[in-house]
Amino acid sequence: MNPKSIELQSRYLANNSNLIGEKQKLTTTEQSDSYEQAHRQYHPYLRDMTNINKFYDIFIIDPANGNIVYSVYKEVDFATSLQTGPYTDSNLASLFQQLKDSNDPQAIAFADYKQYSPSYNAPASFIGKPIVVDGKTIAILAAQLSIEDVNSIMKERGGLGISSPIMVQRTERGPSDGVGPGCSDIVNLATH
Amino acid sequence: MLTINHFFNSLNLTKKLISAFLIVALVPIAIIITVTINTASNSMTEQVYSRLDAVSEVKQSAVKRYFNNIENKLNALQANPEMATIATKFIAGFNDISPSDSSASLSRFYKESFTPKFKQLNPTKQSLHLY
Repeated sequence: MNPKSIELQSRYLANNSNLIGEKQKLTTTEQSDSYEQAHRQYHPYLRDMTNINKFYDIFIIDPANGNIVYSVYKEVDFATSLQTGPYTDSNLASLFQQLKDSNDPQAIAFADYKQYSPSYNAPASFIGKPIVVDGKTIAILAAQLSIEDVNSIMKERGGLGISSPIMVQRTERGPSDGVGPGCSDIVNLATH
Repeated sequence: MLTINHFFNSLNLTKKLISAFLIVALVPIAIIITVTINTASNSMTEQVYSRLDAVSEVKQSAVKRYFNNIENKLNALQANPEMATIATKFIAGFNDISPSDSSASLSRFYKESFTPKFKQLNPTKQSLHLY
């Protein structure tokens, strides 16, 4: 990890008295630099948005170098680079690769469920959109989804006996793994 | 074949008649049973599949609805005109970070908080060497 990653992780993860999994509760630190000011100002809003929308997490990623400059829940992916850091093989990194040069505000990318080591290997998928200003991608906004919601849809087994397991499988992919004008064709499911 | 013929000829008339009637009765019964079992099993399989198809369609539309919903939420967040400012400020802030010597406290965090929880949730996996 580069020195900036270490500095930010130590501010918001190590020197954060909240328990692991509750690091989002910290809004202000003792610092006074421009990062601290941005965090102080916008963290409460982004945290509310995450909770209201029932996302697992929200990320802001710098398209120039893959730095995860912001994360609400601040797991160990926070402040690392998806281009040179420890998680370049993750599905979040593949989402970043899909979007970093898109320059199209309509673009959307989806990275399918896969074990995600910063979330202790829980399965996670990611959905992301570029933030485009004057035809140029200035940042990537991404949300992490846990498997819980899809699981709860699958667990309702009306009409089936209790012994029948239900499987969900993604059978269709959009052009280049889900980038396209809409993600309505992202999932296609088969249960047998 | 010869031995069967020989055996049949050696029976008396009563036995010959009984065996002939038995064959006449049993063959159609066997055929009927086979056909019935076949039809029944086909229709049962069909029934199960049609029920599965129905469940499949319900689940498929539910999951599609879920992802469309997520997409709309992300669109709404992206559409907030403030979002570009927020992102710009975080990126600029990140690039302006001046690192202090904080590696000791961070390595303690990985050793005392992250790794134990990772091991607890993934007992069989080797722990990550991240830091």
